[in-house]
Amino acid sequence: MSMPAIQVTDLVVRRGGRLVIDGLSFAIAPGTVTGLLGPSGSGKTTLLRCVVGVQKVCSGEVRVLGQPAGCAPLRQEVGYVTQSPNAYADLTVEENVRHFAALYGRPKQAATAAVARVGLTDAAKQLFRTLSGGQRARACLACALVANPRVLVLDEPTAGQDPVLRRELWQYFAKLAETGVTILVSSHVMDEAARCDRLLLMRDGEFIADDAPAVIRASAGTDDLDEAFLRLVEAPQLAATASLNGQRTPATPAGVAAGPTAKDGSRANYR
Amino acid sequence: MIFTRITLAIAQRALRELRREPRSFVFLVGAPALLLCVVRYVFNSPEEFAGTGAMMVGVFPAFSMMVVGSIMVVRERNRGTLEAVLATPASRLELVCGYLAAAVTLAFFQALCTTAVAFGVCDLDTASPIWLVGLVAMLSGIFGMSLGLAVSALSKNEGEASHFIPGAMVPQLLISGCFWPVAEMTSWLRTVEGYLPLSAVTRSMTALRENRFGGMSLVYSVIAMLAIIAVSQVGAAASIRRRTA
Repeated sequence: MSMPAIQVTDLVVRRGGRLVIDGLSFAIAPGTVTGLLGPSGSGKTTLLRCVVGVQKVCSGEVRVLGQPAGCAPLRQEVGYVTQSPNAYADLTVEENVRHFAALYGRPKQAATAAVARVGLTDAAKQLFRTLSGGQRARACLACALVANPRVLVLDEPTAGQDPVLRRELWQYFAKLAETGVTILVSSHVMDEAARCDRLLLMRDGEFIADDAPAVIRASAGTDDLDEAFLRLVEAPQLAATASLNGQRTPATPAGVAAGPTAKDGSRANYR
Repeated sequence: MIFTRITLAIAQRALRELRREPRSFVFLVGAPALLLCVVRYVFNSPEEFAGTGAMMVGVFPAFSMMVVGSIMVVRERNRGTLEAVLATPASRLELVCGYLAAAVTLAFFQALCTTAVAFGVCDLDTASPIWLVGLVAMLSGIFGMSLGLAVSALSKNEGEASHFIPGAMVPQLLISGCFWPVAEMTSWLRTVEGYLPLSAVTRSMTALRENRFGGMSLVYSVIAMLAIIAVSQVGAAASIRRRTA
């Protein structure tokens, strides 16, 4: 029985007096790419922040690689790219990535490799402030990749990227996962969600579906993931069916509990 | 202070950022010297200038570094890089000490410039050797940075941080003897003066002017400055929150 890379138990988070996450439980197997989808304001970023350990939580437990999220040893193992890609505007791409390499105790060559990995070698000497939005996102991704993390938490990393780069990044994510890296990525773009091993569909701080993309398509009765997403978000009863249908998926290996807990406390559909 | 790989990396980054803004750099290094020249000609003669002038050699660097320090953490928080840095193995104390280490370099150039102008242009005369005055001026700059960092860590935004200048720094300037001799102030102000952080700077500079190598008064003031630096660094680190709501 393998230990889950990310284990969330009965998580409750309030932000600004509003209940953002209300009793969420799930587990993510190591070496998988998990997509976190949901309408704006559904709590995706808050959940990612909990996994990184920078979010104050009301109750519940978040464990990453068996340790409490955000603890000192974990910061070496978890890479995080925030939604608005921020780095030091007056430093070049290379200087930014090298700085994070130094913070993670990694050599300069690792920085050069990370810059190449995100396709910014040509822009390496460019100041961060002069980059386009998509380039900025990739520069920040390089700052996280340079840590050589075992868990990578990405908040909409492909926003503003062209289709070619998006495909390259997703191919790279899949390759990373093959080497045992666990990737949790939020996204708005459905065609890339299809590349995930498993999708978590979030609405109002709860999961309304949790399955492989193919199973979600089937249960929503459409081949178009965009349409499936809309149907599930707009029709809660369909979402319940979707969960029911997805008994066992390749993305959730045996031994890893992977189930959303409904608000009323009944454990939904997964074992 | 802890000199770790991370501290040095942060210091290097802060200095590199500043180098990309040459105007800020020149202003930071040169402003205290320029102000000193102005103060010199507020007085009629170098003799009348000496008392205030000596204090200003420490006070101006402390003041300017505090202003710079007070936006450091706030800026990092606002542009979102703080969240990224706090997600790395860097500790909060390493972060603020990184800034302080950057201040050491800046304070060196600032003290060099200020002391050179004080003795070379403004005809300042002190009982202590110039190098010692320069060294204490440099310490004053570092001291100012540590106060600024503490303010910065406590402030939510730049506006809040800027309120500390009229709110906390200007009163200290007025009371610590730069403008009027402390001995001639009313008794409760003299008591307050004894507890002001900036008094450590003015007292050490006065000690340097009056006694060769400063004497015990300098020793006490320097110890006070070092203690305040340590406390404000730890305080600044503690008031940065890793987890936010």
